[in-house]
Amino acid sequence: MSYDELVPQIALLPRQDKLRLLQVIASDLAHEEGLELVPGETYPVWSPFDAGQASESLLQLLSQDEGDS
Amino acid sequence: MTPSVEHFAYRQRDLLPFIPIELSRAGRSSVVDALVDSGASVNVLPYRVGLLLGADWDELNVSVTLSGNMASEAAKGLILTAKIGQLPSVRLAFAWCRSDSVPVIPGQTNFFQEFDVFISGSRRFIEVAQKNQSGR
Repeated sequence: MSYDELVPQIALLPRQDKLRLLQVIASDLAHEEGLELVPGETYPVWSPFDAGQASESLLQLLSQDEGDS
Repeated sequence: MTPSVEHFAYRQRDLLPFIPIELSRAGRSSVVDALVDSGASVNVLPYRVGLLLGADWDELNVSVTLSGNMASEAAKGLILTAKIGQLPSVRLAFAWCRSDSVPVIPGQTNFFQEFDVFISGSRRFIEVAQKNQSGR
């Protein structure tokens, strides 16, 4: 089935099926790109963003260590 | 002559910008895969790596308060020597977490202050250069 034939068929789908189709396409694209992300899965993001106080503490530690050595 | 730039491909397993870093302290060293994260305020070190390098949690007296989804993790400041490929060694200050659920993360303080880093997501490689030597 070509793209031109497919689009009118998609328009006939109920809203929930359109959303499911979106998920299927996103998953397919991710797979093709080598990104093995599974819809609905949770992936941790280990990033201490906006940790200004921690940054300040470490800079002080470096400065102190430099003074000691 | 010592090269001033090192190139690394994204890690194949998850296509993320991990680079190998040799960390050392007090005569011990270990090569770890580190997730280069320009959004991280600080360098992060998991507990097991600090232990491997002979660090003693109770002897460290600088507590570090983390943020984001790491806010609940206790952390202390730990200075290590880091070597990336053939680049000159540098001192990096890590937030050493009392947890093994985090990867080694080189962040803004002070990895990104010591190195010029270029990440190409589309071509999936990372370029790490000695600071002020990359020509960019």
